[in-house]
Amino acid sequence: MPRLALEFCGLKYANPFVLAASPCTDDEEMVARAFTAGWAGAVLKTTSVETEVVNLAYPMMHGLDYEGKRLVALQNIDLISEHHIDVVEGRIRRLKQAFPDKIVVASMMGQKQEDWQQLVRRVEAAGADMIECSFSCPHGMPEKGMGSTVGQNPELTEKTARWVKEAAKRIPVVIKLTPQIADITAAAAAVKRSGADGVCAINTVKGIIGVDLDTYSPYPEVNGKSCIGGISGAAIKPVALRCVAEIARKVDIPITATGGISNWRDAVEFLLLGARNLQLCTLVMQHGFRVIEDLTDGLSIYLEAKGFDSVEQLVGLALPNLVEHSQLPRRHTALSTLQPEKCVKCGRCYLACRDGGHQAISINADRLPVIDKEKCVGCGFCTAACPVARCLTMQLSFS
Amino acid sequence: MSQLPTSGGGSWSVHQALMEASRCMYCHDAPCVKGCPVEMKIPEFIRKIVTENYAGAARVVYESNVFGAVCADVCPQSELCAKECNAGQVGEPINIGRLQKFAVLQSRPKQAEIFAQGKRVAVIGAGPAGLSGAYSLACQGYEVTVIEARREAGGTTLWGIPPYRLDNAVFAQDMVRIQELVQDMRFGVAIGKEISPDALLAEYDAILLSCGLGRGRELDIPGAELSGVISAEEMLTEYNTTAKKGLSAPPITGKRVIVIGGGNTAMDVAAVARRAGALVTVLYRRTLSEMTAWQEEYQAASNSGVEFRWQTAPVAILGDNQVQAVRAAYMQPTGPDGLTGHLEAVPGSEHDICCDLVVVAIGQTPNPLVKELANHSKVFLAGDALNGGATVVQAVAEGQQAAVAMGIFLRGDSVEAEVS
Repeated sequence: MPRLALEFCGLKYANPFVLAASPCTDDEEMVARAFTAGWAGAVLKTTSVETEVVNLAYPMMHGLDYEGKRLVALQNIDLISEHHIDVVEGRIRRLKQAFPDKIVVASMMGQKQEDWQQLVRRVEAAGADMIECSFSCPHGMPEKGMGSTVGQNPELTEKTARWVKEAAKRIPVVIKLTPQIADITAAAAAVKRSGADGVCAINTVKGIIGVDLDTYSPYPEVNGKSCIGGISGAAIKPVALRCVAEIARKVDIPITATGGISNWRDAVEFLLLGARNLQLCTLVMQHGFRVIEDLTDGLSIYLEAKGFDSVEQLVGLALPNLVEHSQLPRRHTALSTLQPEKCVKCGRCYLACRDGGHQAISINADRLPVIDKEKCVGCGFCTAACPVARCLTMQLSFS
Repeated sequence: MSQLPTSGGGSWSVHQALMEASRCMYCHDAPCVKGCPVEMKIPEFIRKIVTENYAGAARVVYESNVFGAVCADVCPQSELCAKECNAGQVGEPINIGRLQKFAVLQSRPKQAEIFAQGKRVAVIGAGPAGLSGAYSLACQGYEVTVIEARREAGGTTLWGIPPYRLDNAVFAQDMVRIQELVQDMRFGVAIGKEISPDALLAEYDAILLSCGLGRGRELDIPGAELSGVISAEEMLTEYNTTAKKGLSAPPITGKRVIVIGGGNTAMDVAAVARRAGALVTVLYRRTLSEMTAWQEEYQAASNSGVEFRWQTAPVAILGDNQVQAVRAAYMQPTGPDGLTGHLEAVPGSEHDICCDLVVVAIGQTPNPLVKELANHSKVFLAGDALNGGATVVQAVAEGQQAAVAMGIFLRGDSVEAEVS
């Protein structure tokens, strides 16, 4: 059996899977059940000093459906936890007592230096294994100069991270970054300069999940009004992968990845692009803590099939293959190629190429697509438009 | 005319419809369209269900089939649209009938704008062919009179299809739409009785002859005239129309019914009699694989407990005045291989099967009106009268095609006006 244990910021995780700071981790009993189910760690929902007012509005979540598929993405306008540090420090203490091998991460958000440092001292005293600082919440908090207001400004990021790192005597500090920034590596570099131990990428992507066609209110509809919120779920995976990869190849800092991880395959992708630790939320909210079974099972079987002894060996394997556009190989031709036994004869590749490409596909008398080698430029769109996976593939040839 | 038990039953929820519609691959040059006699743009209406454009979905259905609701319930999908469905290659074919039913229940599309042409047409017979033709002619601006010998509209959909396959309300839904454009419907008017063929030809500029088939073929064996020997049409009319009126047909619980024939109508009769509590035996002179009934239709009858006797044909019907038994013989092909060729009774194989009722389902004779009227240039044919008995949707298609041909004829277009 390959080892799933993976070290991150000096801490030993039984596997790379951690619950992200979210409603999943805003309750002690829930986290206890998640640990029992097999999660290696949990980032408790972001807490704050007792004087911080958390003024929630309901409903606060709305899903994006796509042609019958529910919850392709989720918008939330949730805020940080309503439970302040006085409640959370007790939870940390009891969870660590009950689950000494699990990693309990305290997520926090403050305004002033003294708030941040007080929070750090109290969670450390309670026995937290790690601190995660949210510099990244895209809604609500920025109106108060918190959340992504900090993360979008590298100087502010460095300064705030330094406060936290100064106060944290024993445990590592991770800064959670926002994708709402022109260059996320600048923020990661600022974290590195501050002396903090790692980054978490990414927080939710700022967005509007939809608009009600009858009431003209965007979603989630709060009695006729809404506000811009944070988008999570499968749809944001490409953004998160890009952010993780950009940081990994430019800044020498450990990364805990989050953003749209929906199965073990996604998990492998994040590891291959340089993440050492993986946080999930939307998937868990949809399907429950039980998903940890297939996450670890799928990852384990994959590692074994590929001949790896440890998940550690995956980290960053894909990074050398991520190059600038100008560096891409060009001494070959690509040609769309059909696996006829897989073809369901729907003709969609024909339409895709006719109206979205190069008129290189025709349909023969048996309804099978025929690819014109002269006209096929090798764009690969037909392979994406085909409803059957790997029915059309791109074959490269070298002259 | 016979119909498979297909989509039937209740309508789907939005969720069910979306789940099924999103399985549709939205094929280019889709095989379902080619399998549909009216060439309904099936992928287009299913796509509109996916995008929640229900009004558009219903419009697409009704644009090609004024019996959109009826056909959703009674079309033999597995023989038509769904037969070549590409989704069937990676799982089950799309349940097009249920999606069609969902679409037509969501919205009633607007009627076309009518520009009066000032010509009068008569439609003989208010079955699916006649009514779809009448509607299509009305859309073209012709003044349409529907003449029906029975007391109500529907034709074979009324008497030939049992209520558990086609609810009256479903027929009524389509009928309301037709009646918005075709108001002049005369019931209880038979050609040759209430109105003469000559008067008809004199009064109207064109005539759509969609009168269906004639009487059921009779057995040419001793005893065929006995009381208790009835035709499939009589049996179905009695049970289906009474049931659709909420009345109960004479009970035949425990009675022994013998059905003669191996077509879809024979299966319908057997199933109806079985549902009415009878012990049913079907006699068919050939083998299972040679039956003209659709496999699904046979399976439904068989599953309901109908007994089948293959290679068995009646040679006489026994009884004094009232039928008491069928004398049957085993049938054997006379070809050298014993499998092909003309059928003959195996000598000495006669045996008597006791029964209370014999239903003869060996086809219908042509309607005599066809011979009388079809040669006139202004007369056009559609439906069972033309095709000898097929599906509702085929009748609808022919009604529409005839209406198009009639429009060409009436406008005096140079295009040759021909049906099919």
